[in-house]
Amino acid sequence: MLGLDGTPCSWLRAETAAGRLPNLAALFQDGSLVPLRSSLPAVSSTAWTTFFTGQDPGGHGIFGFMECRPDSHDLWFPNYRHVAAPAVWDLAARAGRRSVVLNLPGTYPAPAMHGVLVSGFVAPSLERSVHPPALLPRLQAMGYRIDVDAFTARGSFERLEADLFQTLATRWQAVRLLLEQEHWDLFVAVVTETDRLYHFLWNAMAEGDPRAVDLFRRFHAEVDRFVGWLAEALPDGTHLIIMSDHGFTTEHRDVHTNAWLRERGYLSFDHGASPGLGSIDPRSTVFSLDPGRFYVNRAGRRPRGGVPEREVAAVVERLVADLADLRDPDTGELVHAGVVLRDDAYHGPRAALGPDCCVRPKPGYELKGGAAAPSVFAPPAAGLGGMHTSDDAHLFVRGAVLRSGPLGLEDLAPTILELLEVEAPGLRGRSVLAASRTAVLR
Amino acid sequence: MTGRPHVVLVVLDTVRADTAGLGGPAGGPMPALHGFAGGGAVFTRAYSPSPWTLPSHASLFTGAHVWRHGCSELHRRLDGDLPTLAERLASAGYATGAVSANTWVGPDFGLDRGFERFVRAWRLVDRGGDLAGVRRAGREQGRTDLAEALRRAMGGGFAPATVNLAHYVLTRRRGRFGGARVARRAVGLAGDLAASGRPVFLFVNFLDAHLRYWPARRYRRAALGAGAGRARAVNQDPWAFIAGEAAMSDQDLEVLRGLYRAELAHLDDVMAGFLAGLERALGLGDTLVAVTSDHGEHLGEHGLMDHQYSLGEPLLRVPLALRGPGAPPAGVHPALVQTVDLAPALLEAAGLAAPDEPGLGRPLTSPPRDWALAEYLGPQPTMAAMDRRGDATPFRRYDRALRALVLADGRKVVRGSDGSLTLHDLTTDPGELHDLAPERPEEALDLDDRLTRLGGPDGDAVPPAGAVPAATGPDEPDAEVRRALESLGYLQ
Repeated sequence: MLGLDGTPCSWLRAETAAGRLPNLAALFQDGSLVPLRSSLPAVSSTAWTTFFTGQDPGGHGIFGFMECRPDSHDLWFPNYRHVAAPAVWDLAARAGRRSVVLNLPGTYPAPAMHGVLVSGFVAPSLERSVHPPALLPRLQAMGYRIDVDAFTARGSFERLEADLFQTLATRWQAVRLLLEQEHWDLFVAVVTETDRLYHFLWNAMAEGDPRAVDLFRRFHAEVDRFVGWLAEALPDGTHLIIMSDHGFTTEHRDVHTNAWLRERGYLSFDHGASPGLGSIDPRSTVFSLDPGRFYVNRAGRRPRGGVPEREVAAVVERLVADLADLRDPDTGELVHAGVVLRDDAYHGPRAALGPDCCVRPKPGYELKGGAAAPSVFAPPAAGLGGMHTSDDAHLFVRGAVLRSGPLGLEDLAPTILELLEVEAPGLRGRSVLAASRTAVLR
Repeated sequence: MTGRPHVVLVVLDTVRADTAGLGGPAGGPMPALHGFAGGGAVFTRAYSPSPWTLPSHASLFTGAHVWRHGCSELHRRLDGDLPTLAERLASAGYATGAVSANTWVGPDFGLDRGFERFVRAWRLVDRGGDLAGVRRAGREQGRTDLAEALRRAMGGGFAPATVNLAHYVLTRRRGRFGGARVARRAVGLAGDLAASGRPVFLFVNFLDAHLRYWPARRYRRAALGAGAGRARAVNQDPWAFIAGEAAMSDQDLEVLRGLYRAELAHLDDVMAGFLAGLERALGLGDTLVAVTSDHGEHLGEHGLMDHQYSLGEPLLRVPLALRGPGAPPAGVHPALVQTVDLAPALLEAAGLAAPDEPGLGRPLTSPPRDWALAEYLGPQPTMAAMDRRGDATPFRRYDRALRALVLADGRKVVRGSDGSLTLHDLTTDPGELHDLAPERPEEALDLDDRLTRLGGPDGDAVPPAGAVPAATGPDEPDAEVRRALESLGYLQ
């Protein structure tokens, strides 16, 4: 499985149709490139965890990069240790299959597993990102980089450009090393540099800024060379999946959902305190986390919770009604693509920890959860321009006929297990292959 | 008597609970220890949290599970934030000393923390450089660290260092670990420490039960009788046995077990002498003595010898007995306990509070344990070290981490990083011969799930549904996570 983080299906189709990306275009001749639905919310940690567990967030427990503790208003960052469902490599290992997993977001810190795993974003320490630890010196020796240094790249085109190519080069080198020295049944490698490029320059590219357009072309040409090399390097008969975790599009405005909640009287903070969920006024009824996750401020669980359980349904009902009128004041356009209630979005043992409702993102409007924003609408933050989409991720399975859609990220773990001939009941998704493997794959 | 009791912690390295037989019927190989323990509290269902020396001693010293103290197959040193038993007792006014016969249990691995005096009993002369430690470092870490360790070791003088190394190699080869000498040094140290007028904390590790099993002839004869003649010919190379290069018949294994019993009989005489010495040096009436082991031993079960690659009962079940002021009520205690519970018990006996945190043991007098946890984070020696010594191919199938959960009701689940999952009912199948996981997969997976929640190899506990643990591990750079997310516009 090769992941191209954030690369939209529509964009891949357009680029290959325009004669660029020859290696990808040649691969796509042998199967179909189709849109894939991302997770809700469509952020990498949630999306890739959905990919590698075959469960929705109600099953795996990762609802975003940041969570609010259920017993306080403290924010915290979940990581791989908090994933509540077995990963596809653990399910495969039960049948003796060995896996190599490189740079898959949401796998930090590296777990002990059957095979090799090098964590992906967010992974602050390479030392804690490598299983087995014996591999660490080899990666250090090659100057392996988990990620583009987004902090220094933001705002400096030259740094971003150099960093993108350099990071992709070490990624390529690591893939080559692991392909050569490891034996594996499942190989997962994700290129996350694409997503970084899009976060910084999608808007500029879409507006036709020549430097941005040129960098997009050159960087994707390099990715395409990598794909061509990989397709050659894989042993004959290897099943190949290429996919992304979400799509990308132009961002017009930031929408600060907590500022909106304050305007509508759902949320307030202690008088004089700096705005932050830690100083939430106990009379608040709703708060939000990005992107587009809304939580009723329940009494009983959190010391500053104010809504008794019997009133929760009424608060949600009013919120849903108000959200239906969250519009761009300039155009009158709705800023989201609809509200989804928790019970409809999330299934499994962790569903109760999820937001009471979520809004689906709409192209152009990036939903932000910060508490301090003074106004609901703002231009994109400095140095950033581009946002995730939830329905335009891509999926390609070489040589396979796919069942009719919609297809979602949770369908990939069952697909991989089918290709590995491993039985694993109880997954939320189902295989994307049209019929039994033997019938459709050469 | 100074008001607080002297505390003596004895680790009989590599002693199996069932062979030692404390708390059971008389007639086992350790009558003196059986008698001594019989006057105190004997725990007959005590589990070690690790199957080998280093993590297990780190647990004995900190009262913490392996995932909490972090000294493991993956990080061969005790460091971090947990105070050791010796540090706690020293800061409360105890005079602290240790005598260790095991090179793993010493300053090279961070296990000397809190001891005023630390006697490395594998050395004949207690001065000069520690070449045995160098040898250990060389075997485990390869040549890179060897030169540096050698330079450090030779700082203390060439002659004593060489004498000590020669002594170490010869005694190990002969299978003699000098228990009587260890006991004499420990008693001498106890006397020195007591002369300070402070209460004494003494730790002693006896290594005699470790491979090679070769006690003096009288012990071999007593244990093997007519079979003693075959003893010299029987294979004692665990790697050859595990690799299948040295086939051993049932008869051979019987001889091996006899030799192991003979070592325990020898160790019992050592203990009798040691206890008599303690009576002279400290007075047993003023001294809380705890006797346990860091792990047991495989004697052919499941195709294994020595104590690696497994979390089987022969490795995890250890003797545990306490006698003296502050000990739990005298008698046989059949409840489930772990050796992580020993440090809290000793702290309480010394009048100190034992912290109550996730990952730490609880005093032995606490309400009965519902579960016991054991962890093995990777093969020891590593596959890389095995490759340096020769062909590691026969051992590749053991290249995996294992975690085991034992429940008070007798069920035991073992999960391997290779995907293996076994379920045994120890009440009907104490030998772990009949894996129930294929018949009862749902139950096995439920227990596996529970095991997963009991703490990870990499830090804090995985939360039960509905609760969330500390946001990050102890050394998690939260600020870096925040920076990385902010840079992409995720936090404002």
